[in-house]
Amino acid sequence: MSKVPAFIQAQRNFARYLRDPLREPLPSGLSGERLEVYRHAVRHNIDRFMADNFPRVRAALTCEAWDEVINSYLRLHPAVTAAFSRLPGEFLAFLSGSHAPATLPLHVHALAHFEWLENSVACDERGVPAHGFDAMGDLLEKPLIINPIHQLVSYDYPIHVITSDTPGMPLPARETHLVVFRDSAHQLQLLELNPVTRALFERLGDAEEVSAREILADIATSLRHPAPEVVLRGGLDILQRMRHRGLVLGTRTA
Amino acid sequence: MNPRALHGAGLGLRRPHLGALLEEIPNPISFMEIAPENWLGAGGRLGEALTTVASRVPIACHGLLLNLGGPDPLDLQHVAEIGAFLDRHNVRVYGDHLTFCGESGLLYELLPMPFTEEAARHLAARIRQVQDVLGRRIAVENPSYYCLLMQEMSELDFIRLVLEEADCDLLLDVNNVWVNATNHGYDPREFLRGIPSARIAYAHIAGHLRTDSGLIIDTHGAPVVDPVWDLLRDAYAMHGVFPTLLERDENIPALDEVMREVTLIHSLQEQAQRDH
Repeated sequence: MSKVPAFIQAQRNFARYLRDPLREPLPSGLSGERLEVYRHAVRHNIDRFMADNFPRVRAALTCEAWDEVINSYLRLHPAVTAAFSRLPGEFLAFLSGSHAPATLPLHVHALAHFEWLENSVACDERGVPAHGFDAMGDLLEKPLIINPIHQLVSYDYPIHVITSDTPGMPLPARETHLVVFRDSAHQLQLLELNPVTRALFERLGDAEEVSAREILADIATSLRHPAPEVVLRGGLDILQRMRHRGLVLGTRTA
Repeated sequence: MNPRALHGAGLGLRRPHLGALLEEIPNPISFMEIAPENWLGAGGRLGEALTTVASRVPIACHGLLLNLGGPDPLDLQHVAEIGAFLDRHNVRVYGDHLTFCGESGLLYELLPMPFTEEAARHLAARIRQVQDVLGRRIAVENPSYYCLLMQEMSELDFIRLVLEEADCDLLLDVNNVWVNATNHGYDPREFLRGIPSARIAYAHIAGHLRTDSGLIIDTHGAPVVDPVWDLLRDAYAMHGVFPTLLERDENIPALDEVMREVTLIHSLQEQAQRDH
């Protein structure tokens, strides 16, 4: 085995100390205010970045619990992403992995995922298409064009009702379907779906040639719904809301 | 001497100023600088704003996370992503710092290099590697540092060795020269005289914080102090006028207020040109 050069060993000792100043030895010859500049900067940068990007997770935890999360993230997570827009993904990976503190409330994991998801939709480098569809077209009869900048996701809790001001509210377990998307004015939008509208939305995305009327008829059949026209009316209603909000852009033109 | 890709006075682009800058890029700004790591993968409103600003003023990119001096292998995927970003925004000058950013992963902070010949050659080899991938020269900054991990040579000799071995340019941070000279007890003017003029791509100037103990912290959170303006004036006299950019990262005031300092850079440059 080749010997590690002395300068690399010095870098290693320094970095290891900064990751875990409570347990690792002081790097040789260093101490006091000057070393504290680096210890503080490394800890503070990560703390501030994660609190800014996960404000509801931060608010859901006590100061002690948050500090423990940040300390163990620094100590145990070898982050490699060099783009700050993707750094929230490192935090999410840490929280979902086996090194996260075991004492975190369960819904914090879902909350972290939701905040990460909002961030990635807001940052999506694609633009919302401005052409290639009829914004006033017949939503039931023509194939629909969906805004590509969206994420469909399900949680075991109504995670979207949590705000930084109401972090401690008791959260009932309830399967919750959400579409997070970005409209053409760059605004982040959110729509809650029920199981039926979720099924409709998924099939709209999959079946580009089929009209919503056909999909809704299929859904009514599979539900053995006594009045299929009720499903059709309800479906049209949600499609109009989706178009109004910018999730459905319009109908196929060509 | 290489013709410089930038000229005049510049300002670091910060998000609180984006709205005002989209209205108008005020005089005498002749270039702006961004950290690519803050913008990579950022679409939406921010990405659109950056594209607009970059179409109106020359852009320099000054990176934070290349980890040029680190022990981990270079992240070539990151370098490639930077390359595409530089092309997309027609970036005139790109570089990073003479530092490392972690070991077994990134720590997202500029950590000081041990000043040894072996470390200088390690840094230089990695700068060359980046230059080869990008097909362009890069400009590396002399960082502020508070701890000496190892010292077998002076900071100036270390920097000169890296510049020569890597055949790269220098982003001369004049505030850092002042900060380091104060914190480590050397003469900032003697240091400046030792810098090879031809390698200066452009310069930074910024404010700092003096703690109760006298240690100076390079916060970029306050106006530039008079001794640093004097040092910049002297640097122009020693090396000729070079493009110079104001950095402000903390306690960011309104654009009008930072423009007063950009205007002062511009007047010092005009004065130095007259005196030359």
